[in-house]
Formats: sequence, C-alpha cells, structure tokens
Amino acid sequence: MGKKQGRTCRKLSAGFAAASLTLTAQRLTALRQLLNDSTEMADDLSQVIRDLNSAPAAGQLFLFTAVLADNEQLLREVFRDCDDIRYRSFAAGDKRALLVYLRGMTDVTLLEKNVLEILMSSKNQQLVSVTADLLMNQLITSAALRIQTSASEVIEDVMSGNALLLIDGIAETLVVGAVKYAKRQVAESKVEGLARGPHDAFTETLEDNLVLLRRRSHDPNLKVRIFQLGERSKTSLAVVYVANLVKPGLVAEVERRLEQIKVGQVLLSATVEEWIIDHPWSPFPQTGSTERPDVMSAALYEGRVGLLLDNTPQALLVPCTIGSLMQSVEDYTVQPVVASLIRLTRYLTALLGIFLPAMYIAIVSFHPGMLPTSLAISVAEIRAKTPYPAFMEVLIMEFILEVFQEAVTRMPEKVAPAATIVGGFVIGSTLVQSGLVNAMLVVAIAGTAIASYTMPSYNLSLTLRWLRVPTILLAAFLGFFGIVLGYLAIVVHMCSLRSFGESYLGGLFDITLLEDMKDKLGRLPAKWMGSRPKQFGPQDRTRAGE
Amino acid sequence: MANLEVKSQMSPLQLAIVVIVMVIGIHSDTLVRVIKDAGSAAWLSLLLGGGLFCGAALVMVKLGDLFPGLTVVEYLPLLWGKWLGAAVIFLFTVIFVIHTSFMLQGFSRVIAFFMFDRTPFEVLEAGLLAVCVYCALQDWGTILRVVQLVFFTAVPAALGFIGLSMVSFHYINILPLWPQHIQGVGYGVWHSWQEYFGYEVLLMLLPLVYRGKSRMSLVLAGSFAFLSVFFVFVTSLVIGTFTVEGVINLPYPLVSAIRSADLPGTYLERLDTYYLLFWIQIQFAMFAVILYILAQVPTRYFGYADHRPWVLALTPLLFIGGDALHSSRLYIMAAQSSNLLGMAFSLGIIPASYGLAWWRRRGGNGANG
Repeated sequence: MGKKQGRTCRKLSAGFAAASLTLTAQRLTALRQLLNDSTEMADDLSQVIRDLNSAPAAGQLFLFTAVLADNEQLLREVFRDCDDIRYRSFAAGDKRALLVYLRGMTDVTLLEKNVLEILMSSKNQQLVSVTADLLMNQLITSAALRIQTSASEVIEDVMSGNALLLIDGIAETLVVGAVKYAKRQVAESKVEGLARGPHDAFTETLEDNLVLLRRRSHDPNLKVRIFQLGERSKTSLAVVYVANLVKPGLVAEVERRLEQIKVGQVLLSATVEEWIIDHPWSPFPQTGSTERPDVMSAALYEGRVGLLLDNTPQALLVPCTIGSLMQSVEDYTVQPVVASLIRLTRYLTALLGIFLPAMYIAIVSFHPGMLPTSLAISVAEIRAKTPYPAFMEVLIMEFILEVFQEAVTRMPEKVAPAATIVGGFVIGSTLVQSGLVNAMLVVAIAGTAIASYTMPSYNLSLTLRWLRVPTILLAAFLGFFGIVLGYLAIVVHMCSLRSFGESYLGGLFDITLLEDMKDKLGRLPAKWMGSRPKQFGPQDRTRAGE
Repeated sequence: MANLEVKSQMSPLQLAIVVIVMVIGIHSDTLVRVIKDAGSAAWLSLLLGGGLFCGAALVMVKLGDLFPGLTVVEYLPLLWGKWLGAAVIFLFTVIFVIHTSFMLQGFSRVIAFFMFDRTPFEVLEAGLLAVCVYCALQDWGTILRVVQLVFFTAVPAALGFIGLSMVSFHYINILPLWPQHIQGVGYGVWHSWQEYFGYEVLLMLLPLVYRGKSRMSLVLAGSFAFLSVFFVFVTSLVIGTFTVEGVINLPYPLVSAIRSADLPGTYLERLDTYYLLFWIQIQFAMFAVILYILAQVPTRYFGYADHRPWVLALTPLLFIGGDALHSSRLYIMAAQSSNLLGMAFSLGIIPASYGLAWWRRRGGNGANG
C-alpha cells in the first residue's frame, strides 16, 4: 500500500514551482522587510501627528506639554507683569509640581488642605506613577476639580480665582475650584427699603444672588443659564426664568440679544440694558430693575425673565411695562384698599411730576380765568412784584431745582442734610423775598420735585424730570393746548414702545387685557389674584393650586 | 427684532370703541344744523339718524363678510370693475378729505373761540396735525391702544363735564318734545350724517377684526345705540339750557352750555376750558385714525407695504384743505357737499355694492366674492 503510494506521490514543487521551500523563504524575508518598513513608517507618522498636536489650534495661545518647565515658562510669559499671580513649586512624590493662583482671589487654606498636604505626603505610594485620572479620581479631595487642556480657558480660570495644578510628565492641567475673595455681605437695599417684609437684597456677587433666589423657590423649573459678557472682562451674567411659565420664545429672544453685545467690558447692568432694549433713544426705562430677590422671584413667576450680572446688585427684568414700574413691594404688605389708594396716587403724582410747572405757566399766562376770581386776583398781585414772565420764572426755578438735586446726589452723606437746609429754606425763601420768583411757583416746583420722588423706579423719576422740559416749552407757546399736545405725544410714544414684543403699557387701557387691571391702578386682595397677568403671556395663567 | 405677538388685530368690542371715539367728538360744531332743521324734535332726528346709519354700518359689515381679509379698496375693483371701482374709492377718499378739512377748520375755530382768540388758526391746526401725524405713522396696534386710552380717560371726563352742565338745564325749554314739522325732522335726519360721520372707517378696518364669541353686528349696534343716546342727551341739554332759538344763534352751543354752568363753592370756574382739554384728546384720536385710514387707501390700492409715506403726503393736503375753509361760505359748502356725498356713499353705493355682490354669489357668477 505504502509502496503504491510512494510510486504515485510526487514532490509538490515538481509540479508547482511556487511551492518550493527556497522560494517561500525568499518571500518570507521580503515580507519581514516590508513589515519593518511599515513599522518605521508608522513611527514617522506618529511623530508627524505628535508634531501637529504640539502646535496650538486657532484661537489657542499655546498647548500644555508634559514638560513642567516648558509649561511654567509659557504661563510666566502670559502672566508677565502680573505680580499678584503666585507660583508654588513643590515635589509630588518623585515628580515636580506647580500650583498657580491669583493672590487674594483664591482660598489658600483650601489648597493647602486638599492639594499640598496630599501631594507632598511622603507616605503616598500612589505618587510613583501618578496620572491625571488618578489625581482626579483618587488623590485630590477638592469638590470642584476638573481637567482642562485649553490654554485660554486655563488662563481665564486662573484669573477668576481658581488654582492651576501642573505636574511634570503630565500634559493635562488640573483646575482646582478655590475661588474666594472679599465681598460685601448680604444687607438691606438702600434704594428699595421696606417697612414690613424681607430685608435681604442682592449684592455684587452673582453666586450669592442666585442663592438668594433659590432660597425663595425650591422649584426645579427655575432655570439659570450663565453667559459670559465682555470680550475682555468676561463678566458672568445669569439668565433666570421659570421654564414652564415663561412665554415661549422669550428666553431665546433674550439670549439672541445678549449674544449681540459686543463690548470689551461689562461693569454695569445698565450697559446690558442699553444693548438689549428696543428703543435706546426713548427717555423711558425699558427694563425693570431691582435689588430685591423677592421682587425678582415674584416677577419670574409671572413669566418674566431675570438677568443677574456679576459685580452689580441691580438685576434686570424683561419684558417691562409701565405698570410693573409703578408697582412697589409695599403695595403687597399693606391692606389692598390702602395699597390701591397709594398706587392711584402714584399715577396721579407721575402726571403732576411732568405737568405741574407747565400748568403753572398755562394758567398764569394764558388761562387765568380757570382760577376762582379771588385766587386769580391774589396771583396777579403776587406776580406784579416779580420782574420775569412766568416762563422765565419757571426756567429759573427748574434750573435751581436740577442743580440742587444733582448736588445732593453727589455730595457726601454727612453734608447732604446741611445742603438740604441751605437749598430748601435759605435759597427758596431768599428767592421769594428778593422778588425773583413768587411763592406760588416755589410751592409748585417743590410739589413737582416731591411728586417725582414718589416713583418706585428711580429711572422713571428721572424720566419725569426729563419730560418736564419739553412740556414747559409747549406750555409757554400754547398754554393748555400745548400741554395737551405734549401729553398726547407722550401717550403715543408710550403706546408705540415695545419691550421684548410686549406693549409698554401692558394691561393698562386695553380692553382685551381687562383681567390684568386687578393689579394695575389698584390691587385686589390676594384671594382674588389667582391668575397671572395676561400681559406677559405666561404658559400657565393659574397661580393657585400649583 | 422679533415681535413675539401679533398686535395689529382687534376684537369687535375694540372696533366698537374706535367707532364711538370717531363719532363722539364731532357733535359740538354740527349740532346746530340739526336743531335748526328739527327744532325741539332734534332728538328724534338724531335717533332716526342713529338707526339709519347703524343700518348702513351693518350693511358694510355684511359686505365685508363677503370678502374676508379684504378692505373696500381691494374688493370694490373686483366688484365694479377697474375704473368704476377706482371712481368709488376716489369718492370714498374725497368724502374723508373734505369732511376732515371741515372738521379741522371747525376744531381750530372752537379752540380759538374758547382758548386762544388771538392765535392764528394755522398754528392750532398745525399743532394738532403734528401729533396726529406722529400717531398715524405708527402701526395699527399702537393707534388702537391710543384710541382705547382716550376712550377710557378722556371720554368719561368729557362726559362728566357735559353732565355738570345739567345745572343750567330747564325742562320747559325742551318742550314740545313731539315734532311739529315732520319735514324738519327729515331734514334733521339728513344732516345728522355730520354727527355720525366716522363709522365709514369700518370698511377699512374690518379685515383686522378677529371674530370671537361676541357678535360683530350686536356690538356695533350697541355702539350706535350708545351714540344715539349720547346725542339725544346732548341735544336735549343744549336746548334745555338755551332754548331752540338760543341754540340757533350760538356757534358752539354745547361748549357754551358747559361754560354757563356755575358750581358755587366748588372752586371750579370756566368748566369749558377743562372740558376742552379732554375734547382735544378725543378730536386728536379721531383725526389720527382718519389720517391712518386715508393713508391706507393708496397704500392698499397701489400695493405698497408701508403706509407712512402716504401719511406724510396727505398731511399737507388736509392742512391746506382745513385752512382753505376760513371763509364761512366755503365752510358751509364743504359741510353740505360732504354731507351729500357721504349720504350717497353710505346709503346708495354701499348697499348697491352689497346687492351686487350678493347677486353674483347667489347666481354662481361670484368669482369675486
């Protein structure tokens, strides 16, 4: 059988040349060579990739490397002439490490406890083969810790008060959240004080302000979105709203307008206001402004959007209506009937704050017949002693009033009472006695000033001051006819104003928004305020039973 | 910026407010004409006139319903053909221009008579027009809000001052209540068009009205009922204060009646000036709406998107028109011609247009409707 087989079997190479061992050996050698070449090529490609990676991307200052000395040099270059930047070099096991932070804005105690103590401990065996992940997950006990690779963001973090941890041999950097700086404590508002009700007010610290809001509402629908404004200042701004109440599209519109702000530095909320309002040339304030977290919280639950800017206690509220500017927290801490009377008085005093000097000119110069005869004779007698026409008299008094108000605003608090006495009594009475102006006008101008001080919004009282000037001119030319024309022009302007698409008059004098009148010229008891104002378009109008 | 909500629409109730504000401010000047015709039965002329023009207004609504979304400027050419339609639109414009000029002249006369006897009419007209132009340049949502503000503030105040003049009212003066001359009552109805002028703006405003639960016809009829009662009250008041003969000899009987009211111990004198402060506001709202409507006519006819250039173009026309009526002869002629054209338009052309549209629709020939 085997013989038969031997006879029939032949070498494979005899019939098939490619199967010869020699040829196979040659081909294996060639394959090995090819593999070696491929490995070299792969090494070369890896090197190219490494080189490409080591070049900073567009918009990045540089890239951190695994060499600590290089990284330190790059940072020192960026922070050149910043003497308040601190570099703390230390040994973490057998490796060198570096902490970089801003003096006065970083909590050094926290760094000592959570970073230095742990990494400098000689007993820590894990430090022999330390990696960024190990630091993150096992070693450093700081709550706010993250890996950061972008140089620009690292620099921004350091400038915000966070500490930067660099370790030799690790290309990633660790940012340790340890912001701590001197700040004003939560205190009472100086411009929105209240006899009965909460006294805490916003401060200059955004985080604290958000806490004040969160304390008032444990609602997960209360959303906070943080934006950075100012190409240089990188000021934080929080957009706050209640997600299931706010009018659809409003938050997107607010964010769209915020993104259009192109300034280097944002220091005041008024800067933000001027960028986002619809009519920057109008004398009327077009955003609500408050220092009170309770006011803001109430506004958010009416479907409005709040804007809190870091470094300023004044929060903005949009949309804004004249009705919301005329509301005060005190309206809700007194009996509804009393509050209604006060609020109605406020509307009337707003009109007086604009038109009282103009009315004086109109009555004295054009329509003395409107006065009762006895009073008209009395006024004529007083006027006979003053040399100027009524218009000039009013201009003099208005000018003195403006100067006086400006002086009181600028002067130190300790001097202000003395200035009040000098201005109010001495100058006022002397002007009358010297015959420059008459006593009736002094009463009218003083009444005007006091009327404008009754406004809950300071900016609105400034608006009234501004509007007095054109109405005085109109009254000087056309008496009461001119005043009515001025009034109508103001009315048309107010009706034409829009705040984020909503009418500036809000629910006032609109028959389709009559329901909103329950909290406009007066207010109803809380029991009857079960629905949210229609004017801001909240998704859910039912206030009660949520 | 994205307006989050469309605010150029209005409810039937808001339209009724517009009609009331348009009509209520005109009475003081044109009242004498009706009293001259109908004597102490002027109240009946005004009531009948109210019913008649309410009917005309309802026909306008019905006509508008046949052309949803279109104004009179857009559907008249479809109905009457290009040239005849254009002629009717021109007539509509002419009526408004003539009567507005007449009212502007009347306004300046009242203000000069009671407030500024030495101020030129032109200054008063230009002052009012300036504010009206500012208002008419805005969108309809703004104008509507202004009209509502005037309705809720100036109209009640004006009515209050009119009410105060009741202290001079003598019941005996309004007798006999029943008409002595039926023909005079008829003439009074004819001239009462001048009292009710303004409701024609419906033809331009109907596409802006959204129809909710409230019925348009009912709300409109309510506004005419209010206006009729108001005119009857005012007519009775002035006749009760001055007698028919006294009213005929007075240029502005209502303001004179308010002036004659004496409220001893109230420290208020010259109530007429207080009243005029609110009357000016009502007049302003009326002129602003008219200016807006007049600007809308060419805007829509020629297919422009923006009405504002037309507001600026039409203002000098109204100013010159108003100023040209200084002469009493021209002033009266303007009133008579606009009265004639207005009656022909409201009671002739509009019902005929409705009949034509209805006939076409019924006969299946109504591609237009």
